[in-house]
Amino acid sequence: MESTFIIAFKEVLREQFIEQNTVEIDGLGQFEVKHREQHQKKFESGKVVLMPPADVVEFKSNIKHSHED
Amino acid sequence: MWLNLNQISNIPMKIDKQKLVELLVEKTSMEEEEVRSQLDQLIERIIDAAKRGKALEIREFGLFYFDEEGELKFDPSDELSTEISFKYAGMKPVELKPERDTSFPEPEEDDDDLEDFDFLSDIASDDSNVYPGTEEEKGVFADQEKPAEKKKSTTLKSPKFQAKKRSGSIIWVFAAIVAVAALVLAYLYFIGSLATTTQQPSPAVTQVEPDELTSMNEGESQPSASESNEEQQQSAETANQSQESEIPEAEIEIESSVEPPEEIIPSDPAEPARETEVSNENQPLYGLRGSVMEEANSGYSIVLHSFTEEENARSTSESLTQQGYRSIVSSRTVADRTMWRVSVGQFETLQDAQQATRNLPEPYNTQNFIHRIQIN
Repeated sequence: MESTFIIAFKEVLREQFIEQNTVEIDGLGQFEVKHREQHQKKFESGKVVLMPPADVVEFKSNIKHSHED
Repeated sequence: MWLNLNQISNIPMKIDKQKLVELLVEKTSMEEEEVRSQLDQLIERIIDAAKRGKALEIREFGLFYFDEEGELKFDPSDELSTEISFKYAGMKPVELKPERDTSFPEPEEDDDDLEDFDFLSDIASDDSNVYPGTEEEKGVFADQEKPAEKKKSTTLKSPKFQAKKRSGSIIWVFAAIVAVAALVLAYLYFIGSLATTTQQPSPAVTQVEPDELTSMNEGESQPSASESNEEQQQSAETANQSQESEIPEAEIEIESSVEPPEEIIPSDPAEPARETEVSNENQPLYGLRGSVMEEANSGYSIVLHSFTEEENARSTSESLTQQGYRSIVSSRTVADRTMWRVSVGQFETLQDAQQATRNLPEPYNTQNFIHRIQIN
């Protein structure tokens, strides 16, 4: 596999993610960028932390593999 | 055509395999058939590696593997996560403290991930005028500041027994402080008498802060603050690393990297002052200071300012250049708005850039984010 292809693959997907586009690759899965709102997180110690918002990439795939194979 | 439409409307689109192939053809100048074949090979390799119980890592992109339930998973790399979430990069969790916690730290607190949040919340409550920005650049950090101020005023409940324990511990803390102060005074007196008897000049105190650190900010940065910042970043890095280590028995196959290693001269963030002394011809490829190296533009840079007006960005960049920093101006369109970013340094890896933030003066050492260099 050519390194130029791998580099281009990374760049193209990164650009699409930044544009908030969903990328669906047959035979692999779907990449989607989701926004996670800021939220409060409570700890048993009584500490409460405000977690900042973030955009995160989520990957879903229909491909399954049985470990018993 | 679809890409142009997307840029105009800024509506998220769905890219299928055919569109992806078209984009890859455009990017690589390879034949469509070849791109299609390469893509199929890549998919095959990911699946094969995963089936063999291994994880396949595409460097600076992410890791593919099958989880315990046999589902194909993808963990984005730190680099990718940072770039995707660039609008919020640099924003840290903020502790919303109960009122009574403001007098002294809780000795029994053992949440490692949160131990530096006092420092962070202090920064969040500060006015952003501390650095030489303008009103418009507050937009970048505005999201970060407003919730912190708002939430800080809220009173949080905690168990009563903690209050009792705290009042008891105040006495002990006070007693300990008095004892330590007495010891320090005795030690100083002893040292003083020793110096006068030997008639030797006392050694000069080493200046921790390099001169250039104060040049960006009128107020002097405090070593203790920068130290706590180091701890912050280390804990953040540790957290990131631990996330990766959750993958069981993952033997990582690493795909080919971008540049051959022999061309890379690693930056030395511990000695930023020396870089300024090196002439442009001999300066390292990567680093915080010196001149911008075109060859290093595939790396990362530390964003310090973001403006809506290009002119403001250019003048700020000019000022940073005069102070010896490698300063880069780039633009990004975020939600239909073009933001002009001013960043400093060129770094081969995200980690190098993170490390170099420690060499920046306050408030830049905490109020920054890292992006991949994109020259327009």
